[in-house]
Amino acid sequence: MSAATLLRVLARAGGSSARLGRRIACAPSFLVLAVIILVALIGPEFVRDPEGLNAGPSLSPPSGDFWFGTDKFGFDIFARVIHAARLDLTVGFSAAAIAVIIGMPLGALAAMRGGKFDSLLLRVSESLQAFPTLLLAMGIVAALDTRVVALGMRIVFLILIIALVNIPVYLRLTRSAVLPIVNSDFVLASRCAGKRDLSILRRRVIPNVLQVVFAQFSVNVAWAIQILAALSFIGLGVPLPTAEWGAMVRDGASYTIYGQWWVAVFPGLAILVTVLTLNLMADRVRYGK
Amino acid sequence: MSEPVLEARDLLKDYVTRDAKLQRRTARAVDGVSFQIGEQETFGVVGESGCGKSTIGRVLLKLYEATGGEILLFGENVAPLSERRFRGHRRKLQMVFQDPQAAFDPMSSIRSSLREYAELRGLRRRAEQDALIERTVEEVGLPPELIDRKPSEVSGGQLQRLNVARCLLVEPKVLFLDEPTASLDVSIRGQIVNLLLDRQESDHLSYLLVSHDLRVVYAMAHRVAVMYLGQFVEVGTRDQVYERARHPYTRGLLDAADLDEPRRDSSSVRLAGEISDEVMALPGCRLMPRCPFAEESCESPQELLQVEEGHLVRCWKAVEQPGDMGLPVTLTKKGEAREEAGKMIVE
Repeated sequence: MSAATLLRVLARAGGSSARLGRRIACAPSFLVLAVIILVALIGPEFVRDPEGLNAGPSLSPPSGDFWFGTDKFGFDIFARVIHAARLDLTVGFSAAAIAVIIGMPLGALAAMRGGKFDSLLLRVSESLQAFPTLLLAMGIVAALDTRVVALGMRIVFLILIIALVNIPVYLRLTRSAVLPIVNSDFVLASRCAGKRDLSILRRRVIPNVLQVVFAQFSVNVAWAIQILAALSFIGLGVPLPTAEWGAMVRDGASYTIYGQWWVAVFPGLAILVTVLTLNLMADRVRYGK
Repeated sequence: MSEPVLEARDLLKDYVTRDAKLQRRTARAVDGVSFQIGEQETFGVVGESGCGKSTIGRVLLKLYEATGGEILLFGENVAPLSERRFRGHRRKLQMVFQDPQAAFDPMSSIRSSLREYAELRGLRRRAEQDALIERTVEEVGLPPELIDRKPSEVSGGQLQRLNVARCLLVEPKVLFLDEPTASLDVSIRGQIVNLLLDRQESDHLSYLLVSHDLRVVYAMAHRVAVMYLGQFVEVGTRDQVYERARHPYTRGLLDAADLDEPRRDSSSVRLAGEISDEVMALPGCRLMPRCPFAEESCESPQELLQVEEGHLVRCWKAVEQPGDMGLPVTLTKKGEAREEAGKMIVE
């Protein structure tokens, strides 16, 4: 299935589930996420340069001037947290989106076709899932040695790797959601109308599993951000001086025991709030609370 | 009977599963079933849940692939056809589902589900499709506005009418009715039965009716087959099966249903126990473990034997020694039972 088809399906299902849309839109978690996204979009225009040297005194605590304090280079931590939102959300959303776009149709096809195709996909995804997600991502990043490439390319690599380790999640989720639908009466009815597999997949199957997949999607954005943060924390993610929440926590961690808690705590809080919001949203979508 | 519209010959269907050790296991759901349905005729199949009666229809519609046997649609064997080649035949053969709620896509409007059938009819333009859909929906007695709702916003009885309307969109010749009233309120069942009977007459439809509701089958079917564990155990006209039942299973089924008055006399048959998979492996009568009349000779394979014109029974004893089974029957020389003998069962 092409990306264009998938977008059409998403749009169609989105339009046909206006009630679901309203339910999500009224959720507090949705409002919080909207604020986070807004901050990521326009926030960086209103704060100091996150990489400007000598912006302030080194390691000064939160004050009226520097709301979140400064780090050892004197960078404004508030500015860095805001700037990092753009990077972290971009990586999180694009990695999760790529994983959905590849994993969902594969999982649906596996469930519909069955047989060898199904077994093969399942075995491959099991092999990938046998490794802890973070370990696998670490392994691939280390093996590719992405440190030599330019920052932009490196972020693209990170997105692709995080997407890759998440594809099996969508494949299996979609497969298990599609299995009962493939044998449902309304799909048999479409068969009786002489509809082909791909048409049934597009018009009947995918719209019916979208809710489950979307719930997983927002959890997955959170995972992707966590993976990126974790990779940066151990030095395999985004290098200094680029602002990234995980990398900032890493840099600040060692100061915490000396009482300079603000360096690690504020980016850590940013991760916490974002991940929590996305998880609450996923609950909302899945259980309709 | 006129030229058969639909005929099944020795239909076989195995389901392949894997057990805990990943060994292939086959379960035979339909085991050598043959029948013919003529124009404007209703052929009813009754039996317990899980006896394979729904599978017959699904195999005929090629929703499941037949393991063996022939499916003749107007004389042409369609069993070996690929889905692509069979697509041209789909218009002739359609299905009314048991659960109307499950038969429509819960995420889409009913119109969108109906459109698929208008497309099968060959209508390309939206306006043509909609005109046909609205006309057909009115014909089954529903306001056309209904179709812009989701299935969850329409009542079960209305949905079942829409289910029938959906089939009618393609002007089919044969409808497979899979328990068409089973999930409906008792008060609505009659309406659906009447709708189906009316349409049969006006559109010259043939029905394959599968149900465990003996009343519905009685009201609709011309001929009836009783199915037990994948095989027909008794086939005949409606009156032959309902009033002159011979097979112990048929009699047990009729007794359990208490069609008229509960009978507790010597002629009533009580079936004990449950269906088990093991009996499928035995060569003889599958009802043996549950049958009150079972004896050694029942362990040999049982064929469908003719007891009178068009009335077949898969039980040697019911044919040869009906007296021993509470059937007050006098035998003719060739083992053919006299009609009046069997009549006493239902008194």
